[in-house]
Order: sequence, then structure tokens, then C-alpha cells
Amino acid sequence: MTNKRKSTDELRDLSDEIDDSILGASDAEVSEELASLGIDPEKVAAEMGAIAQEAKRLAGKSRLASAKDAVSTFRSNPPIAPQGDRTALRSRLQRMRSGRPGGNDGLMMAARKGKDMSASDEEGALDDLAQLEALESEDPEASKE
Amino acid sequence: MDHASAPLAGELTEPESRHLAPEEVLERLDSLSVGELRRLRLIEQRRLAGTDFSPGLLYQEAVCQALVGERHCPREVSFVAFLAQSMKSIASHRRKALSRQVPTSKVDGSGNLVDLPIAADQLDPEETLIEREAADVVAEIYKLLEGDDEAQLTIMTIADGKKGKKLRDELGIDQARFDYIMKRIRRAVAKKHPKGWPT
Repeated sequence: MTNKRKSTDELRDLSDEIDDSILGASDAEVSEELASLGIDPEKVAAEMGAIAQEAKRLAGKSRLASAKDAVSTFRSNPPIAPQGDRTALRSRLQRMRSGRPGGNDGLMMAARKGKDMSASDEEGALDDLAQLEALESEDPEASKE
Repeated sequence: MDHASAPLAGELTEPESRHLAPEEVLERLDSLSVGELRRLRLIEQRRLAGTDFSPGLLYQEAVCQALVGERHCPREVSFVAFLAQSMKSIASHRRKALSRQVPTSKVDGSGNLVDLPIAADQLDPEETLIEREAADVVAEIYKLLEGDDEAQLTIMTIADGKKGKKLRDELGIDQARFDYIMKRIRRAVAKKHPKGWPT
């Protein structure tokens, strides 16, 4: 004994078979069927191409919006290093500066014409370092690159 | 954009290596032949019923979702079949979303709100209405193919849940014969339901 299937399931299966049969139909059959629905088969490729271009534009916009959201979320919740960690970060920063070839970290100081970092510059660098460490802890692979 | 579940083509969220990467999706999209685009247009047309998508927008949504990675094309699935499946799924979700807005009550002549007649033993009135509508469409399709016993028997076997080789074996026909019958069914249905059916 079998239970009667739901009509919605029957229709779904029929619809799927029709889609499959369209995918397997000949080009001539497909063109004929489009024409019978009032769709000019000769114009379809150009129309679908234009739609795909628009989809690419929208997808690009959507990805950009997601990236902006992610950056903004990250910036609105910057990792705050506790005082103890800040001391460790300060030592790490000192090591980075002294370990750089050519001595007194010319790269970071280029904008200050070789002068030392101000206190606020150093605090900013520590914030950046804290964010970098937070990122590395989220993605351990990134630190190996 | 929309969402889905279940391991259907276009709906998986498994490791990227099992699916096309975004640049591969772009490549496949740009490589679709004229014949494939025509097939997709025909499939889109018969998935529009019951949605508020105008022609072109269902395809656009499917492409968009593939490009932003909301739907992933498994490597073993043809890209055309993936887009067809995505359109089906997106249309289905849209229909469901719209059906939630279908009233199950109405205002009568005296301005009173009255429930639409639905069998009392049914738990979900919305589902009952959809099922009733589907039953009407099934009956109508059999009627459309009156005189074509082979087509009616094929529909009956499909409605029974048979697919692929099992379906052809049950009907006792080969693929070529099956394709020919499906062509007749497709054309008869398209005359009455050019945009498919709204369930």
C-alpha cells in the first residue's frame, strides 16, 4: 500500500522533468518554443549577455559593500590591549625598530625626516600592532606569510 | 538576495575546492553558448509564475548569487544545469515569501472580516490552499493531454516519483522516445502555462 503523494510534489517533479528536457532538447526545438512564447530567439543571446553584465556590476557593488561593512565593523571594535600587553607590545615595537637593517627604522621615520617618534606616534603604532596581533590570532596562517 | 538549504546543485556550502572558484564562475558565464542561453531563457520563462520577477530578473538574480558566492556550483554539475537549478530555487523561495502575504480571510459585504473556507481538519491553511491549487493544475494538465495516452502515462509515472532510467524502464521506452514524449508535454503545458505554474 502506498500513500498518495502530494500534488505539489507531483507538480515539482513534472516541472523538473520539463526543465531537464529543455536542457536536452535540440537547438531548433528550443528556438521554436521560444518563438511560440513570443520571445525572439535571435535576440536572446544579446539580452542575456546584457543581463549578465548587469549582474556582474551588481555583484561587484555587493562585494564592495560587504568589504566596507567588514572594515567598518573592525574599526568600530578595535582590540584594546591591556596595560600589561601594552608593555609587551612596546618592547616588540622597540625590537622591530632596532632590528631593522640600517638601524633607526628609516621607513617609519621617513615622514618625520629621521627624527624620533612622538609619544602619540608611538601610541598609534602600538594600536596598529595590537590590531595586527589580533588579526594574526584570527588567522594564524597570515603571520607565516 | 536569497538563501537555500539541502544538498542541491547551487546550494552547497562545502569546501571551495569542490566548487567553482569565483573566477571560474566568470569564465563559465562568459563561455555560455547561444544555444545554452536560449535554453536558460526558456527555463526562466517557465519559472516566473507566482513570482514578481519580470523576464530577465530571475536569471540576473541567479547569476548575481553565483558571482557573490551565495550559491556554489559543484564541479561535477554542468554550469547551465546549475543556473537552471538556481533559478528554480530562487523562484520557489520568492513564491513562498509572497504566499505568506496571501490573505486567508476577507472583508464581506457588510465590512466584517471573515475567514476563507478551509477544511477544518487542516493544520496549515496556507499549505492547504497551495495543495488545492496544485491538485487543480495536475488535473488540468491531464486534461490538456487528453487523447495522448503515452503522454498521460508518462506524467502519471513522473507524478509517482520515478526519475531517469527507472522512469523509462517503467514506461518501457528508450531515451529518444522519452524525449519525444516530453517535447509533446512541454508544448501542451506551455500553451496553457507559458510561465509555468505558481506552486
